[in-house]
Amino acid sequence: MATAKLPGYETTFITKIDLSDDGLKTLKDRLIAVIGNFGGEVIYQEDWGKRKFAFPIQKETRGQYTHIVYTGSRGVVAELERNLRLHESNLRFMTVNLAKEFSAEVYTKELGAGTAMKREERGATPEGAIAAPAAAPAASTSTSFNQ
Amino acid sequence: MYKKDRDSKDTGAKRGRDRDEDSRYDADMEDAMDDGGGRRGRKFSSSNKKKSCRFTAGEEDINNISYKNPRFLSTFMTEHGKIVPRRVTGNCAFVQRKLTTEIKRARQLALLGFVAIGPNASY
Repeated sequence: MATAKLPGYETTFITKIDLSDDGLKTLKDRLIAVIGNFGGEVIYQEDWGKRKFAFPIQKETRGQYTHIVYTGSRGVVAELERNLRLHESNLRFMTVNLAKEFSAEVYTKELGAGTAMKREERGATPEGAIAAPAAAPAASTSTSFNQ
Repeated sequence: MYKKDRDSKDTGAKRGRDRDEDSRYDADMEDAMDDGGGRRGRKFSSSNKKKSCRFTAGEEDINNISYKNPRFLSTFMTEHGKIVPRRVTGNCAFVQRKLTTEIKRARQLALLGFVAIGPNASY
């Protein structure tokens, strides 16, 4: 992580399920390149897999979710979203501001509490449900980037 | 004489209004009880228990309120996809505000519905 603290963002985007793994990878690489151009880096990346929508989007009922957490200087979100808009398989995206001065260390420390529930949601081991409250006291010290 | 009459009229009117209000509260109380107890119902219930926010009380982790946990968020929604008011859930204002934001974020990503769309809706 660079010495000057950059703002942190997290973007989730949904692609069509007929997009191949290679296609998704090239899209991700492109986004990572964009983030690199703005002096940032990808802190965390997660594949939420294929999920059924609560309502159809562009007549599609299922989609592939990808979630990335990254830093970058001013304009990185606009450029990233422009790239997503240009991509034909992209159905939807959403970016959330995490913090104006983003600390990757704190984020990775808190990650355990944040992702535990997600694993449970994906139907994996129910350990996450037990792990989440245990990790809570440590996480409560800095909820700044949780908005 | 006149004064006395007016006084009695006033109190009469007042009493009538009170009764109206009472009946309204009763209706509210019934509504709240249907939803599993509410703050207003407390006024007339014998147990006199106050609902406290389960997040600030430490029963639940506030970090779980995130658009990444749509299933958890859906516990604060009706089956039709509406956000349950805090008068029913007992959440504090801070938590309710956060909850609302996160539910709206989850809706944007189609993780939660804006409305119930039928028996095939999985959330």
